Amino acid sequence: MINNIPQSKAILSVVDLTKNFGDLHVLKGISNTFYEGEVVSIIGPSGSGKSTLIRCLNHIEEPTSGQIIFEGVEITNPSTDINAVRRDMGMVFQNFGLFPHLTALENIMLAPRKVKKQSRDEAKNKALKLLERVGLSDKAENYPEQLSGGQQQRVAIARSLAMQPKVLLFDEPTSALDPEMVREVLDVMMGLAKDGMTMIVVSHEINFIRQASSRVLVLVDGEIIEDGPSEQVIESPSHPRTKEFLGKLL
Amino acid sequence: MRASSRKWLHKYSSTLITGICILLFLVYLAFFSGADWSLFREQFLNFEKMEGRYYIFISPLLLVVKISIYSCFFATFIGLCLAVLRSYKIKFFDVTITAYVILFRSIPAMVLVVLVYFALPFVGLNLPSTNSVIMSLSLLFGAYTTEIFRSGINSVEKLQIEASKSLGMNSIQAMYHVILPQAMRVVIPPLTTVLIDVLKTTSIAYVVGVPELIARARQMEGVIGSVTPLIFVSVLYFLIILPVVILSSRLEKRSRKWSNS
Ligand SMILES: Nc1ncnc2c1ncn2[C@@H]1O[C@H](COP(=O)(O)OP(=O)(O)OP(=O)(O)O)[C@@H](O)[C@H]1O
Ligand SMILES: [Mg+2]
Repeated sequence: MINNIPQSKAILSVVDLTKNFGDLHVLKGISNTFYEGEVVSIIGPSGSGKSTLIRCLNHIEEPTSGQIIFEGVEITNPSTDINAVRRDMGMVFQNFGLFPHLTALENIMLAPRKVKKQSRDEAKNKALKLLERVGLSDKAENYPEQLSGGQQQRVAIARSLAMQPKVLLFDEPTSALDPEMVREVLDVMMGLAKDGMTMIVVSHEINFIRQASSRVLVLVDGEIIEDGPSEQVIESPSHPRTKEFLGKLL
Repeated sequence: MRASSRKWLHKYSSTLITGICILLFLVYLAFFSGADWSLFREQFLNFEKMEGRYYIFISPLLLVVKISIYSCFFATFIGLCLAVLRSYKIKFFDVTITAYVILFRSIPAMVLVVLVYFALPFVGLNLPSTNSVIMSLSLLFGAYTTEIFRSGINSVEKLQIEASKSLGMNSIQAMYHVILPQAMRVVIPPLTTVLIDVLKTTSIAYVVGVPELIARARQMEGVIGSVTPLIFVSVLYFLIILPVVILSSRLEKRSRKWSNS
């Protein structure tokens, strides 16, 4: 286990979070605390509310009730400047979400320049370093359309990292990729985990969970039915629904 | 050199073919159709009679250019602002902007120009005739550009907004740096059509007595007894419209750099 540091500081807390879409109760009272340096995987069947949960964490989806506290700031409080909070929370999407009208380099530079008001040179230098880190130094001038899915997702990760976030949220970052490209994205993610990045990852990549993730949350029908160290949840799950779900996965 | 000229030929082949067809048609008309061309020339292409009168078109031309530039600018500006406002989905803006679009798309241009010029003084707003034309055209065509910008903004997928937000951008930054540049690709062709319409509709300025090109041409037509001035004015309009067309295809080419769809 790389990141088993249970004594470290809490960075993100969720208290009794619910989310309804009309009559549909998608999240039914989620509570959990995420610690600095943790890599937490969220698994669960389709439609169980994984995306909704992770999107509530940076308030892209507005929760119906409950609290989310990030570094002592209650994001769910309407008077909180949510844009300022989001600077410190990166998010990586299933379908990448790169800006198609900007090159890989410009994609990475945009937020640091406009949000953090970095100078062009500063932002560019940092962006080039990040591209190197995700192994795409030669693609700086390419537009997203000219990149493979795996390359796009690596640029998207670099783009999030450029804001120097304190936590990175991933929503199924590899499930839109062809199988041969999954590895290159997971390698980047495992590198981040090794460097101590706090990560919350919705993913069913069992290799990632085994090798990089310290904790697994099992979400079924909008409730966390199991929460424990990765090995324990995967090898000897306590809840029958977890067993059933893992049986299909492995 | 060889390669570039071949490329040129390839690029303009459709224009070239159209041109050749028109030329052949004209040759047919002139030599084989048996029409009386001297009469036609006297009626439509009697430039001898126009000699010494071209100066008359200078000030109307400048006036039309001025009205065109202002109207195009304000029509685009109105459309952009209202479409951006609508994108925030605030009930009040939604209702008022929709009402504006429906209303101004159904008013005939001439009616609006007359109303603005003759009716607004009753509520204390006395606009010079040129300005009332600019205002009318801006409001009228602003309704069209609002819809054009709106569909452009809607064409950008939601994920782009979510990605911008999750990087800490506020909604103005997301709109300016992410949404609008992508919307432009969809917006430019229909916007060009509308702006060309604005230019051509400037001719209704005559109803409030603005000495514009068509009115002047028709006057001269009576004096010299030939339609030639109207033909001449059409050429002037073509020259006014040309820069708009060139600019628009430039902009379109730029957006094709990042997308070949
Ligand atoms: N914007 C929305 N409006 C209405 N219903 C929604 C919306 N977003 C999600 N839902 C519903 O909420 C439920 C949970 O969706 P969610 O995307 O969170 O599931 P998930 O666990 O991420 O599933 P998957 O593994 O397929 O990605 C689903 O029933 C979905 O149809
Ligand atoms: Mg999902």
